Amino acid sequence: MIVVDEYLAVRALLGVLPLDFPDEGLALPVSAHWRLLQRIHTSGTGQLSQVLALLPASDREVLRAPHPQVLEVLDPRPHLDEAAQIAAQYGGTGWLIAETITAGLHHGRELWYGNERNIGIRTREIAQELEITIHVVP
Amino acid sequence: MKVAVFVSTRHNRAVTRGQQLLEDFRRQRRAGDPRITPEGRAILLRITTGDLADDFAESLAALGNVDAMLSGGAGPDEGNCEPGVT
Repeated sequence: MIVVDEYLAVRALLGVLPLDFPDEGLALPVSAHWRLLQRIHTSGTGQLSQVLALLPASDREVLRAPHPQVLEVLDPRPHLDEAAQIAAQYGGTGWLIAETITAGLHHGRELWYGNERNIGIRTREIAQELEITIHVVP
Repeated sequence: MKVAVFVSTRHNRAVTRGQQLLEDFRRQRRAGDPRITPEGRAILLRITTGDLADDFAESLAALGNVDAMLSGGAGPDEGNCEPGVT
């Protein structure tokens, strides 16, 4: 199982991951799922919002409840205390970073992203300290 | 001898069946979710690998910036709840 971000999660659901992408089950932290769903439901006047507003109900359902054989949304509860320790140790990282880092620790010490811009500075720093490798798939 | 052949054959069949099943799972996993519509596919491709990919990253970051629990109150220079570090 490898931990992916919102970009690779959506690409997995579309069936358009690169051919050389690791042939393993994919896991999306629930905080990233929450952020993805927030974005889908947030209205706005920009081009992105207008395009997302056109997303058919069937596709929204796929994002809401991905087929677990394609993408598993991780249950954070078993490692919640560990995530809280990481958040505290690194000065209140928030749920997204703490959960993502914890998930990476428990799934091969790797995190996979589909866009360089989706990796924050603190995630990089903490991942480096905890010897978690970050991969970016173009 | 017959028993040995039988076991071997049975074992091979089981492995073959198992391998086939694993291959089916792999194929299903790589094919994506069959509920995706052509219209949805076009939109989701635009936001992940197309012209709206960077806008999508910035909008995800912006959500983190207004959600204190998600970002831990991280400022604009902290965390992946902000525009990335390209």
